[in-house]
Amino acid sequence: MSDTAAVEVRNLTKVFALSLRKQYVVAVEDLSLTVNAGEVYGLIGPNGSGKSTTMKVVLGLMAPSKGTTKVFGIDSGDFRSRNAIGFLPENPYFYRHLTGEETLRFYGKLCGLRGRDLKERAAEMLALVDLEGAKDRRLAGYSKGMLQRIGLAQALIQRPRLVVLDEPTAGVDPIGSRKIRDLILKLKEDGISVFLCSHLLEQVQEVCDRVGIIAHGRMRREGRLHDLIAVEDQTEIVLEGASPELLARVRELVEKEGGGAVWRRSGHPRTTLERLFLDLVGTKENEGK
Amino acid sequence: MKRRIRKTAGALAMLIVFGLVRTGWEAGLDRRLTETGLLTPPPTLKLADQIGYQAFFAVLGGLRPLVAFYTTLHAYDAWEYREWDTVERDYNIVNQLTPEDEDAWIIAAWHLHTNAAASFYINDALPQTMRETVLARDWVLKGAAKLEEGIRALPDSWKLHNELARVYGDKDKLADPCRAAEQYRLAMGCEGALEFVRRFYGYQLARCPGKEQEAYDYLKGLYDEAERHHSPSLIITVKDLETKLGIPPGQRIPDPYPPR
Amino acid sequence: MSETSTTHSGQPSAGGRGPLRAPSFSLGRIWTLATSTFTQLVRMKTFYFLIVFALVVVAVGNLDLLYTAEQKLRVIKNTAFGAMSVFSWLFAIAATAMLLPRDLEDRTLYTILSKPVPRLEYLLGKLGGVMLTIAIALLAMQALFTGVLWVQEKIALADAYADMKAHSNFTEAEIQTRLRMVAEQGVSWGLLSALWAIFLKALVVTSFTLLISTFASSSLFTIIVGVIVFIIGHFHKMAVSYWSSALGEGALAKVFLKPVELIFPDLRLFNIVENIVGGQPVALTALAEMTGLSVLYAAVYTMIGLYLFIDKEF
Ligand SMILES: Nc1ncnc2c1ncn2[C@@H]1O[C@H](COP(=O)(O)OP(=O)(O)OP(=O)(O)O)[C@@H](O)[C@H]1O
Ligand SMILES: [Mg+2]
Repeated sequence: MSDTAAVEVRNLTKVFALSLRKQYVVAVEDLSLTVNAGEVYGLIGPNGSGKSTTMKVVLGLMAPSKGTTKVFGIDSGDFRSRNAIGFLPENPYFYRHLTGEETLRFYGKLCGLRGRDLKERAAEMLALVDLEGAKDRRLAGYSKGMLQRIGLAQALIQRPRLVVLDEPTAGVDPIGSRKIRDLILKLKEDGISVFLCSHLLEQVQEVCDRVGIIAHGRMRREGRLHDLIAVEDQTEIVLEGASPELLARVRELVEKEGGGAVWRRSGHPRTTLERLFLDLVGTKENEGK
Repeated sequence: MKRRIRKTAGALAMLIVFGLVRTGWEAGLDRRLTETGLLTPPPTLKLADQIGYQAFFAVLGGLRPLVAFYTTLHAYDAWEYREWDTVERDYNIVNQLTPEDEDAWIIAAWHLHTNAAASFYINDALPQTMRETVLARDWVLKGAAKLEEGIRALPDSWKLHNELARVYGDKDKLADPCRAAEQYRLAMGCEGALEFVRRFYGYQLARCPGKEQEAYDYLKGLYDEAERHHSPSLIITVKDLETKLGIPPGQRIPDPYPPR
Repeated sequence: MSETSTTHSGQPSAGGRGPLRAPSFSLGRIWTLATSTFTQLVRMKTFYFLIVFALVVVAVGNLDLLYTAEQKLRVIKNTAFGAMSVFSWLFAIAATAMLLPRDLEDRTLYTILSKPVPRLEYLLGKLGGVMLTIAIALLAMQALFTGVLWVQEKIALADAYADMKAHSNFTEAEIQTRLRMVAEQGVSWGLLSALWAIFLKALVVTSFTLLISTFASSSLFTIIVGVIVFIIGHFHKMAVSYWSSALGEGALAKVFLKPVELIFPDLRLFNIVENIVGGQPVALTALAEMTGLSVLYAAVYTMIGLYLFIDKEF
C-alpha cells in the first residue's frame, strides 16, 4: 500500500463565486502536494490562505474548480474514498442532544461498525481522548476542548488509514495540546498517515515529517522539515561581511579548542520554521486578498 | 452564480416534467375518489365570505368536519341565548360543510321548527296574532324547508322523511296530514326505516280527507299481519275508521278498550 | 489521551477494511441516520404534544351537547383525526425545515459527509427520521384515541339499547339495526385507512420540505416556503376551476395557472381522510393508488433534492 500516496493533490484550483456581482475569490491556486503513506504532513499558512479549503476538497465536501485530489488512489469525488479517512473539522460541532458515547457510536455505525466491535471501539476511543468520565453527558454541556477531543475520537473511530486534522489543537489547553501531539506521534508509529494544518508552528515542527507553506492559496515552499529548517543540536553563527580569512581562523579555533565540537559547514544560514514562515508569508499581509 | 441559475432551472424543469406525468393521473384519481364519495368537491368562494378566510383555509386543508364541529358549538351557544338568526346562519354553514351528516340536518330543523317557533309563540311581549300566525309559523316553515333541503342532499334518509312527516303531521305546526302521509310513505321506502313508520303512515292517511278507505285497508292489513302492530294508536284509529266507514260488525276487529 | 490506553490498533488495511469496502448503498447507514434524527426530534420534547392531544380527545368525549350517540362518536373521531392531521403537517414542515439547515449551520454536516456516506443516503436518512417520528406519534395518538372511542362506543351502545328497550314496540331486528349504526361510527378498521392517508400526506409534505431545505439557507426560509407550498397545494385546483369559470377559458388564466398546477403538489386529494373518518368505505385499490402516488411524490422530490444537494459546497 505504501506505493500509493495517502493524499495526492494535483494542480488544485478552487474559485468561489461571490453572490450577484461578478466577483471571485481564488481560495486555492494551482496547488500540488503529496502526503505519502505513513507520513505526517503539516500544512501551514496564514488565515484565509486556503488550508481548510484544500482539506475540504480532499474530503469531497467541495469539488475542485480545476485539478484533482485523490486519497489512496481514489478520487475524492467518490464517497468510498472517505472510508479510509478520519476528519476533524475546524471548530467542530456535533449533535448536541447526543452524549459522548452516543456520538461515537453514531459515527462508528456510519462507517459500518456494528455490535461488539463498535462498542469496544467506542470505549477505546473514549479512553484515548480521556473522556470516559463524560461519556454519558450530552455534548451540549461539553467545553470547547472536550468537543475538540470528542471530534478527534470520532475521526479515529473506524481505524482510518489517513487522518485529516484541521487545527487539532485550537482551543485546547497546553496540556491537552501536548497530548494531541503525542497522539499524532502514536498514529505515525502505527503507520497511519496524518494530514494536518495548524498555526502552532512549534508543534508542527515537533510532529511533522514534511510541511507545506501556503499563502494566498499558493504553495510557497514544500519539503522535508529537515531540509527546510536547521537541526536543533547545531549552532549557527551568523556573521555579516566576514572575510574568508576570518572564517578560516574561526574554523581553526574550533578545531583546536572546541572541546569535541565539530565544524560542520559554513555557508548561508538556515532558519527555524517560524522564521521561514514569516519570511515567506510576511507579517502584515495576513487576511486573504 | 451560473451554477445556481442552472441548477434552479434544472430543478424547475424536473418539477414541470413530473407535473406533466402526474396531473393526468391525479385528475382521474380525483374523479374516481369523488364518485365513490371519498372526496368532497372543493367549496365555493362564497363559503369564505360566510365562515371567514381562516376557517375557509381549514376546510380546504381537510379540516371540514372540525370547522363544522366548531360552528356547531357556536350555534349551541347562540341557542342558549335564543339568538335564532345566529342559530339559523350557523346551521346553514354546518349543513353546507357536512351535508352527509343527517343528524345535523335534523337538529338544525328542530331548532327552527320547534325551538325558535316555540320561543316566539310564548313571547308575551309580542301581539298574539303576530306571535301565532306570522312569526311562529315562519320558523316552522323554515324548519320544513331545512328538511326538504336535507332530503335533496340525502334522498335515501328515512329519518329526514320521518322528521318532515312529523312537522306536517303535527297539528301545532303545519297540520297537513296528507303531506305527512306522503313523507311517511317515502320514509318507508328507504333502507333501514324502522317499522313504526309504517303505522304512522296509516295514521296520517286516516286523517287525510278522502283517503279513509285506503287508510282502513292499509291499517287492517297491518293489524292482520302481526301481533306487534296491535298498538293502542293503531287499534283506536282502526276503530275510528270502522265507525266512519260503517264496516259491518262481523268484520270489525275486537275492541280491547270497550267504551264504558 | 491517557498514555496507558493509546492502543490504536489500526494497522493499515487491518481487518480487511480497505477503502473500497464501503457498499455504495446501505440501508444500515440510512437507518443509523434516521434513528439519530428520531432521537434528535424526541429529545426536543416534541412528544409533549401527545399530552395535549390526550386532553383534547378526552375533553371532547365528555362534552355533553345535543348529540345522538352516533354524532357523539363522530365528533370524537373528527376531533382526534383533525388534531392528528394538524400535528403531522406542522411537524412535517417545522421538523424537516430545521434538520438540514441546522446541520449546515453547526457544520455537523462536514463530519457526517466526511464519513463514507453518500449524499442520497443522508437525505433519505433525514426523510426516514422524520417519517419514523411521525409514524410513532401517529400510532401513539391512534392508540390513545381508539381507547377513548372504544369506551364511548360501549357507553353509546348501552344507552341506545336501554333507550329502545324502554319503548317496547321495537323489534329485535330494529334494535340490532340501530346498534349496528352506532357501532359503525365506533372503532373500525376503516380508521386505520384514515391514519394511513394522514401518513401519506405527511410523507409528501416532508419530502417537499426537505427539497426546499436543500437550497434554502435557513430554517426560517424553509418553513415559510414550505407553508406557502402547502397552502397553494390545497388551493390551486379550486383556483383553476374558479378562474376558468369566472374569466372563461381565458388563455391568460391558463398561462398563469398551468405552471402552478404543474409545479405544486395536489394535496387536496388527501382530504379523503375526512370522509373515511365519516364512515365512507374505502376500497383497497383506492388506498393502493394513493400510496403509489405519494411514494412517487416522495421519490421525485428526493431525487430533485439530491440533484440540488449532490454538488452543494459547504
Ligand atoms: N464557502 C466559501 N465561499 C466563499 N469564499 C470562501 C468560502 N470558503 C472559503 N472562502 C474563502 O477562501 C479563502 C480561503 O479560506 P480557508 O478557510 O481555506 O482559509 P484557511 O487557510 O483555512 O484560514 P484559517 O487559518 O483562518 O482557518 C478565504 O479568503 C475565504 O474567505
Ligand atoms: Mg481554516
